Amino acid sequence: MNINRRKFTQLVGAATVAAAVPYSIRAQSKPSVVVVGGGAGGATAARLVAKNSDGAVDITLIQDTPTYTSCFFSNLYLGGFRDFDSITHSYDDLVSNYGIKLVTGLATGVDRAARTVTIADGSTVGYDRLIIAPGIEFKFDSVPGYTEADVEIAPHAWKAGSQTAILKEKLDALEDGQNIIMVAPPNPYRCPPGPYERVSMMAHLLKSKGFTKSTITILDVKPKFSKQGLFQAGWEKHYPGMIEWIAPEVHGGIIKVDAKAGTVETDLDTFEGALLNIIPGQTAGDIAHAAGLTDDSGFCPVDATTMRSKVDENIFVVGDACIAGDMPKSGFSANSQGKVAAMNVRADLLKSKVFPAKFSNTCWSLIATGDGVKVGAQYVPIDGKITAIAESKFLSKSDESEQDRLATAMEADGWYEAMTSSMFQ
Amino acid sequence: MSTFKYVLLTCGFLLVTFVVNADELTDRIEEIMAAPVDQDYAAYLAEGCTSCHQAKQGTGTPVIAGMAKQHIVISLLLYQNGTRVNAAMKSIAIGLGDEEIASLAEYFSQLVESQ
Ligand SMILES: Cc1cc2nc3c(=O)[nH]c(=O)nc-3n(C[C@H](O)[C@H](O)[C@H](O)COP(=O)(O)OP(=O)(O)OC[C@H]3O[C@@H](n4cnc5c(N)ncnc54)[C@H](O)[C@@H]3O)c2cc1C
Ligand code: HEC
Repeated sequence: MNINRRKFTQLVGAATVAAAVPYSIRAQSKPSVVVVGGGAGGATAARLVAKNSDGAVDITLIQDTPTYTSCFFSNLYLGGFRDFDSITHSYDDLVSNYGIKLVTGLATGVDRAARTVTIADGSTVGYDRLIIAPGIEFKFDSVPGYTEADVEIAPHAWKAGSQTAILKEKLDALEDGQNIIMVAPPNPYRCPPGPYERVSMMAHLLKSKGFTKSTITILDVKPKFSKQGLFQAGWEKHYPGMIEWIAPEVHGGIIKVDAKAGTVETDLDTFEGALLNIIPGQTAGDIAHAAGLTDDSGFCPVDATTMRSKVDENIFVVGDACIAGDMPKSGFSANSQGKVAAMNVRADLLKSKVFPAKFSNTCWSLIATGDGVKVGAQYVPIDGKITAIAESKFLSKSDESEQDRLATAMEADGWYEAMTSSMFQ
Repeated sequence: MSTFKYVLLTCGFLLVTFVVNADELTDRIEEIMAAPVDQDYAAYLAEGCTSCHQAKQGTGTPVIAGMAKQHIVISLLLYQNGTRVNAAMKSIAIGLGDEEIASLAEYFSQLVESQ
């Protein structure tokens, strides 16, 4: 009753103002926020600015694809634990529940002086505050011989969508005795445990089909990797003899990938696979570079307390594209950063309250059915850097009970639902 | 979950609590239950919880929307001191002060679990 009356008064009030003020002034009276990239960071930020500002801000979300397929849980799709629809999300609720304007198109440039974003069709959208969350782009030259033209033959599937579907198709088509070669990416890249969870899921699929002869070889360019002990113990337990991880000091370096021939040549040997999964090095999404927001690292420096770009005070950068101190590049991290950015964007525009920034991350990985592991921590800004709180760091134990592992696997399912709700609903 | 279940759970935890560290913890629970609550701060902090805690019942992570305030307070304190064991919840709980626990517990207890 009360709320109804208040809403009614607001409506009448707004209508009266609308009648009295010429359009040009009206257009300026509502501050505008543009978000580029509707993924883990951008969708979260757009939704929260909208949800918490009660219609006082105009929000435009620019996203190149009509739906979003998440990289998170795409490995579970490969393993047969999820279907493609369950990792694909629509933007409809963001539009209908919060009045966010959705532009389906690629943002190609930012005019920081004029405060406009250009879209591929040539149109522009103006902003008072811009949130950049485009995720990553690949550095194809980081893998000798591998080019963008090869991605359909030897998919990276490190951006989800059609790439994920191609990898799944090729995986499903393998016959017993045919091998998989993965080239794992150099740091920093999105989802540190991701390649190793993927290998686990591919092995799970092959094993569940009764394959006994196929192998998976990981040619890594890193001397060690995330949750290494847990993964290697899990591989030994669930997929003995199937997975081999080869460190750079052993293979001596990758000399050439030949996608068509299905070979990866290293100092040690030439490896042959019916399926090559090549994951190149990564950099911030193109638009972050085009807007001049990146530094020599290829990612965007931000203020650790607000996620504001160090280059332009009207712009915030969240997710994989930013330099987030100790935080890994993950969907959970991007979501957490999106929340801090949203609070500060609202404070800029509406003078709403600001609370101290707190960040959080947990990365779950599934090794086999009901065998989940996790790693995580909480983070705060210290001396200008997003810093892990030492006591908050945790990692699954190698001697945990099967019950604990099952609980962890189920937590991850709960997280996926909650996380995607906090992006899209 | 029914209120009856909460009462049972809470009693169970309190029992453990008494065994572990009786007086200190019960005093703290009372203080937190009576502590002032900042709604805006609570709403901000709660965003850090809803990335795992869904609004409706699914698998894995419990719904905390609509839980009894005291149950939330006690649970967070027990994760903090290690009596209740979950690595992710402990990591989060140890960073919460009494005022934050009070605000979060009040906030979630006032929410309604969606259907
Ligand atoms: C196999 C795999 C498994 C993973 N598993 C997990 C996991 O279990 N947990 C976890 O937390 N993280 C996981 N991650 C990491 C996670 O997917 C990323 O860290 C996260 O998606 C980053 O969020 P973001 O918002 O920065 O980018 P994204 O989520 O990639 O969103 C960016 C969006 O912006 C769009 N876009 C980019 N440029 C433009 C432009 N110029 N104009 C318009 N739109 C644009 C893109 O199409 C994309 O949809 C995984 C990643 C991979 C590859
Ligand atoms: C990383 C994911 C994650 C985040 C973030 C998280 N939780 Fe939890 N929470 C869990 C899991 C998993 C459990 C169940 C653990 C168990 O079995 O004891 C849980 C349990 C709880 C419980 C006990 C519920 C019950 O059924 O008794 C409470 C209360 C709770 N969380 C509160 C919070 C609050 C408040 C926050 C935010 C400050 C938060 N949680 C953030 C994962 C999370």
